Amino acid sequence: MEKNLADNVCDEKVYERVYNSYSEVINNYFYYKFGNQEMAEESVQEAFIKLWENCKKVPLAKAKSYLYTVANNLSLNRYKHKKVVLKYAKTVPQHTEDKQSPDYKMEEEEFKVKLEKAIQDLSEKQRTAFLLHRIDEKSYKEIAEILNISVKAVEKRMQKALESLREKIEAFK
Amino acid sequence: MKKKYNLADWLDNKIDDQSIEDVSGFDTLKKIKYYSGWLEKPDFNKDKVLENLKSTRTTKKKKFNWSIAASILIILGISSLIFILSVKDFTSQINSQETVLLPDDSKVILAQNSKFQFNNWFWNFDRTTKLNGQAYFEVAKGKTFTVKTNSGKVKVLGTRFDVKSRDSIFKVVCYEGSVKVIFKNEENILKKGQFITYQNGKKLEQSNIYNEKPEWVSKTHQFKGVSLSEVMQQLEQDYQIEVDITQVTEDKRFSGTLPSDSLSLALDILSKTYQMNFSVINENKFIFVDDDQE
Repeated sequence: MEKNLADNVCDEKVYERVYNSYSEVINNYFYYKFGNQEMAEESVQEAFIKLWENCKKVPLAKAKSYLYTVANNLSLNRYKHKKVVLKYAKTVPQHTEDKQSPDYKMEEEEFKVKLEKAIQDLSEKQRTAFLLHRIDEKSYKEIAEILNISVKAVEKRMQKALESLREKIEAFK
Repeated sequence: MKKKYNLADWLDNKIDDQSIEDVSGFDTLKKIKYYSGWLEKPDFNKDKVLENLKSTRTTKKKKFNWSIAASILIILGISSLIFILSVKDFTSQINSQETVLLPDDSKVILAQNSKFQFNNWFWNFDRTTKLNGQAYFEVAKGKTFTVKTNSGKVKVLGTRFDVKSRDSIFKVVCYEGSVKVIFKNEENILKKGQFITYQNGKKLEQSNIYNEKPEWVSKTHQFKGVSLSEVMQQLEQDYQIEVDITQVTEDKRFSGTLPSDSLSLALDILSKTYQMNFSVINENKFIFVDDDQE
């Protein structure tokens, strides 16, 4: 009985725990996909409202996959897709130890810009998978869950994303 | 098969750099892996979104459900219509009584010129009646029975009683059992043979009565030490006449029985008791004067 109670998503505390665990990744997923922060937050809200409305039917163990499914089925046509704007950590340690040329800093900045542009130009599918891995540090298995695809399909997307990024960056030269 | 997604495996650190050294653009790939690792998460205000979420959640819950509201309104409308339609109204004419039988076989005798109301269909839920005037009740034993008047309320449990609520007078007489009289904030319990009178919002009298039934029911009026003007008021009402007693000096209290269906007899009795004469001004108007003959 006690266990059931603790597992009930209808319980405000449990609900908030679920929120704290998954709201961010859902937000980020939508941001990587459409580049619109407002839309991403709206998606989080809608997914969690659906969870609340169905909290009696969704056991805690299923809450995560329920949220991902709902999020994937959301139709938020009223929002415009935007460019995915990304930021780098303020201090990125030097990539290679030996290169301490005066051009190094400039080259580094240049590369970072090229990388961001290349990411923006990726397909939605490749970009979401790639960024969930690189930024949110999600495993391929988790990404597969979020996107509701197989791990193999995630690997394929990562492979394609990398190849595509390399081509684009080298083409910028 | 594994080799097919070697870059994916390398990005996920499943294989080391050496495994893909020969892939073209290896240098760029390494940089991609390195710098993409320093990308930051987008701005997400977790707390703000949660707050929004909670307020939307509650407003969604409180969202007005029109269909439910409409059904409630319809149900309310129908039931109040039934309620209104099932209200039974009885009015006794001047100079005539009327007997009303309630659904539980309680008997109500309306004195002349009185109004009585009860709800037929809801009788089992609400044994409340309304009275304006005077009525004698013989209530069947059962649940509480309430008589509401403009002045006060009477609550009873299987009994016989008389309620009079005319103008500023509120009088309750209990002939059997007991009744509770509620007047403003005051509650009084009357036992068999007791009565209570209020006039102009004040308690006038609480005393005993010795007859079995109200006189008006048995077509007589019993008076016990009442003033002449009070007797005359009763006559005026019983017979729809006007009586002038301003010239009568006699002031003694009257005790006795007067018929309520024979005006000439009633006038005769009064004249003899008070030693006065009366003259007929017109069909409905009488004037009393002191009888000068010693």
